[in-house]
Amino acid sequence: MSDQRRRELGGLDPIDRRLGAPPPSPLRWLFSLLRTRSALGLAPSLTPAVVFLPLGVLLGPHGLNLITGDMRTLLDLSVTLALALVGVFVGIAFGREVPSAGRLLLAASLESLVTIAAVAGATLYLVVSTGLPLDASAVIIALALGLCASASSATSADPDADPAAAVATRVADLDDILPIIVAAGIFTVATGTGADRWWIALIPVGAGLITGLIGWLLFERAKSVAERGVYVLGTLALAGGAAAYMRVSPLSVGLVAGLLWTMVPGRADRIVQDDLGKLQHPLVVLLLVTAGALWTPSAAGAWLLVPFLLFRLAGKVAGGWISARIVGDVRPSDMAAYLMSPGVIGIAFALNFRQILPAASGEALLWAVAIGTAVFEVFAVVALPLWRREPR
Amino acid sequence: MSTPSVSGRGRETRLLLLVIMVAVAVLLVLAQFQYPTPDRAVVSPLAGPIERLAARATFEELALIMGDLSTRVQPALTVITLERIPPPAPPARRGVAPVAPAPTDRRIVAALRIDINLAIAHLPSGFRVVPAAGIEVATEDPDRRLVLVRVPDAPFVGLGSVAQGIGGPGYVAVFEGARGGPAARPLFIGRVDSFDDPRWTQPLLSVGGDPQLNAGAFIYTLDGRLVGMTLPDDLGVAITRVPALLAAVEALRVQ
Repeated sequence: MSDQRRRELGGLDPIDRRLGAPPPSPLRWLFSLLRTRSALGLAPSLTPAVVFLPLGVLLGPHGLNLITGDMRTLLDLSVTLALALVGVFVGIAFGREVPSAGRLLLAASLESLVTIAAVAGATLYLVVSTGLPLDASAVIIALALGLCASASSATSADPDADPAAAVATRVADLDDILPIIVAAGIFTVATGTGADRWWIALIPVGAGLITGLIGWLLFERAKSVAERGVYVLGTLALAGGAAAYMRVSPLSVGLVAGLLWTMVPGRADRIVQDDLGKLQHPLVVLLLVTAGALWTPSAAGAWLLVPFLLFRLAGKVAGGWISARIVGDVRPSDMAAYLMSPGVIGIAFALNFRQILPAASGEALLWAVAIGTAVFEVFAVVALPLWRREPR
Repeated sequence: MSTPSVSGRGRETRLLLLVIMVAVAVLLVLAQFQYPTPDRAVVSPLAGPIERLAARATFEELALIMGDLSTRVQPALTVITLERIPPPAPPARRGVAPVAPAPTDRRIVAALRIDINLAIAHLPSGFRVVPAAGIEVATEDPDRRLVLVRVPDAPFVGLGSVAQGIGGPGYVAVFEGARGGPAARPLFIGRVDSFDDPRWTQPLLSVGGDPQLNAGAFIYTLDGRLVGMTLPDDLGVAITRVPALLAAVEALRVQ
């Protein structure tokens, strides 16, 4: 079993440790210290968002100004590819889990739905009652913030230390599916007009199916590993590029392609997982650094941060309460604690919405989600171990 | 795997209720406040990542710059409507039908906000400000053709960065009045010369050639620094720079 705590950044897994990995160099040890480590195992550690978001801010226009306009444009394109990659992995997880874990999927979807509803409802109420000026529809902003809040990574879960963590990790993997589908719907509403919307709603499905089909026809016919790698990367670039060109969500295009690869005969899903796995960690770092570099101080963002923090907490506790009752054998508070860490999916959603929202609203959303993600990661490290120490 | 006991279930429920109650309470308290300033302007979404990477023609680049500049400058400007003062009607003579009034000559000019409810604009000779909701004349300076107008309250964002001057050849942004608000357009200027005018504390800037400028426009550099305001002079139109304009505003305010 792989160490779920380090899915986002790599590093030694439990099998490596058992086999006796070589002693780390001082530099590697330092980086290891900065990597994700067990939050619920009481080891004080830093998660990727806590490290790389501030690094991005430092490198961006509000810091050392090393990431300037043109580079931000290039980074934005890489964000699109990273979003497609995240979508592919979620699609593959979805395709594999659906036949055997319908109950888990139901629990995960309800958990994310509760969080989306809590955060979106609170945000909409706050925007309307305080007269927060937004240059986009308040409903779309509220739903977008809810979707960003619904993401969980359970990177703090250690399956070796706690069997319940394995269940929480699978719930966290599956709770991204419903938000990606809802996000595709928001893209349709935000970018389409009138009758066009029905066609726009079908674009992610069509683009994902075509991309997936092209990849499936190519992957297993490659003559070498290097050639296969080129095909996989090309297919990912096609998925991201097609989504960006047609102004639909790369997450949903990747989700459909990933789902298709698990359903077609052969081992396309294994090939994609192996080859894209090498890209996953660098792209996650790139995603976080880019989010930090695009961070712009925003009063409206600070306003949105309040419902994000309060109602994500409430939504995750309520969602954990519901999902724990569906899957059984897990304490609701443990489930909520494991789901508290947002990981990078929330940031990915925010970057995705920033590409279609008017500039000011997109920046406010990214501001709130970036700060909120960092706060929840720190919360997962500092407060949750104390929470879980309570007597059972 | 842990199975919650009865006391454990009670704790879980208390935790759930506590978190929800705290969240709702804070939200209700926060909802009592009003967001301080409406500092958002309507702007278009970002172009897609691929569109931004594609090579663009220079004119498209200029249009993008103007769009961005317009968004940033709009809060500092407003518009007012002027109308020509009708000539006094000739005395009515017996047996002669009264002359129909001439159609009203109206103009919309840009006005620079200098305070929450004050703006400065150009008032041509023979024109007056059309009163509207919240708009009325505070004071006038007929010699310099300026008018200080009370306008509806709006957050005063300041004048922003100020350019010391401009030189040609190059582009500047011209903000003029339009029905919906200030309108921006780029203007190529080939040559700029300064000259003294006794009415102003600083030399004015004369734009060479046919400047295609009307009096009452506000000139900005393409990076968003305010250069000044166009006002009539003996050879057409000249640019009054910001320090001189502000000195005139101060004189108007103490009147």
